[in-house]
Amino acid sequence: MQNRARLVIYISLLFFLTPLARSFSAQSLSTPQYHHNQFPQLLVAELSREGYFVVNTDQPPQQPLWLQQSQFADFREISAEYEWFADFQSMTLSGFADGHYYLRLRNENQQFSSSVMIEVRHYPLWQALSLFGLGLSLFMVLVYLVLTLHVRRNKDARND
Amino acid sequence: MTEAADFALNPQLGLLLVVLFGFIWVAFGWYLGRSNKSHEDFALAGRHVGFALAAATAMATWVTSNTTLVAPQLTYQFGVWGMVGYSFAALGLILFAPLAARIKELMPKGYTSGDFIRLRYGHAAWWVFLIISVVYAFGWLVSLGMAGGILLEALSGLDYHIGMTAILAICVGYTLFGGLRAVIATDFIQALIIIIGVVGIAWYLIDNVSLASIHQEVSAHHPKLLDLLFPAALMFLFNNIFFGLGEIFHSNVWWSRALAFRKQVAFKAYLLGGLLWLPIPIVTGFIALAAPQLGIYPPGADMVGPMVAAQVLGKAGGIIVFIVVFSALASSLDSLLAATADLFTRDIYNKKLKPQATDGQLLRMNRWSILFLGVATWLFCLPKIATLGALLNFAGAFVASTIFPVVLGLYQPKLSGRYATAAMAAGTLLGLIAYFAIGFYVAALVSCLVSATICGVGVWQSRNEFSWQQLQE
Repeated sequence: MQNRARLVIYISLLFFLTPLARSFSAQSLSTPQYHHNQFPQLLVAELSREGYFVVNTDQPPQQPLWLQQSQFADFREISAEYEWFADFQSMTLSGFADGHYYLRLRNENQQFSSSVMIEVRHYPLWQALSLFGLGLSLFMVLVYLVLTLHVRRNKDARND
Repeated sequence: MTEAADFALNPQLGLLLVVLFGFIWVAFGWYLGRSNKSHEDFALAGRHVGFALAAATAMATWVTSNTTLVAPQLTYQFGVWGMVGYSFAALGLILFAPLAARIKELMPKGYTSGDFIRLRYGHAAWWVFLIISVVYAFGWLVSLGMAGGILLEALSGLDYHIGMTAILAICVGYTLFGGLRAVIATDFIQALIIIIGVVGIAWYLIDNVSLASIHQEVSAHHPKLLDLLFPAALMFLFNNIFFGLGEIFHSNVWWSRALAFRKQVAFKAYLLGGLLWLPIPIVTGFIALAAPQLGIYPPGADMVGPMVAAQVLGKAGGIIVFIVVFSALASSLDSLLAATADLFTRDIYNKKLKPQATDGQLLRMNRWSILFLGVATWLFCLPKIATLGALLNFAGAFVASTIFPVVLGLYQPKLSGRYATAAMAAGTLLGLIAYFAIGFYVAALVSCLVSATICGVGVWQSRNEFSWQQLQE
């Protein structure tokens, strides 16, 4: 009975542990400057360290929308335009180089939502290469270990 | 806004496919399960699985949401490195080949990976190992259930909860009827479907969307995806490899197969399974690179693979994608259900709660465990708590800590239970701290590094040697 009670407690603890998983980048959401009523409110992280980010809306879009991207706050030059998919409340964009990116929504009538800004700042290369080197070294140790132990075991088995 | 036209399938067709698919697999599981006479038949398919089935189940089980949904996701996020790096997870199967042969040699009558840890390292290590295994199994089960829901949502707009519930119900159904025999047989068919489907989709994609145009679009608007010095991708690479190694080395999914395969089959089966698996993430990942060229910007990065394939191939393509990805998910979900239920039945029920249990009681308990796991997974899947990638990487901190204790435990008699326990516990703890304090891309690496260091000290400090005879329970 004691074992059974202990088991129940351990399993309950594990159940609470698993949902602790969080999304890839813990990012705080920035507040847009203003927004028009006909558009859902845009929400995006302030900073991305991985060159990808998710643009969210506060409600499902009610009309066909396009997301415009510019490197200028006044959108004098649009660098890309992405068609919003169906009535989902998010869009994931990736592969961005370092820089500041301004985003806003456009509808068929050429009306625009308020804009939001995200900064992409990649991790320093020295940090990435250090972790890469560390991983490579540990991996080589493991491969060497598995192969030598296996070969040695086979030799011993033949000698027995 | 109703945008049914944006989806490859309409919701009715999506539902029809789920019902049809479910009926076929459950009926097949029932048919195969008729020859199960004992708990050993149910849990280990009578220990006589031949080479063809063995290689197919190794490959098909490893083709999962990881390869069909997360590989495109990581390519979409990390570019070329995400695609190539993901294929390196095949190293897990390839490096497990010698270990599988050793497992079969050391424990010809063994049942689970938990058995090995308990006999080799003692009860403290066994408890730590069990916690790691259960967290990982639930993380993977939940990610697979979620993937089913995401798949149907991306293809047909059908509510996430319907797809998630359907795949769980189907897999629980046929695993419940057929046990490991049904799991391995369905894996064989699913492996064929996956290989033909994935190659076909990639072929069609290259034929219809030229490589030059994909390259031009990605270079212009998503330059980091082609950058070989993309910092986050470089950091992700070895973390992903250690995560994959930890998953395979510790999990009863792979141990139960090694024990179920015929003698001399285990090594070759895992080696071939790994080699067959290697190109699949490259193919599925490549699909994601075509997304910008096709004007597809997915709501979640894990939806990109099915969305691209469905757009390129149209309605027929949507059906093919559904069958391929559903097969991939089912082949892993059933394996995990069966292996985790074995772990519950053997390691907890039989070893801790009822040592005198009869064969019939074990069989019944095994089936109840499958049902319990299915229901618990469904409950966890309901709130869609994280993205697939996030959920999997969280488990990386746990499983990577088991790599060195498992390898050394199988070959090196000097590593004691005290050091193995410390290696797994400290590795997991520091891996989790790294996950929250630094990021997902260091969790498995830190966990493995800490565990390897403690194991190294343990071998160096040890005065005693373990007798392999003690593994014969």
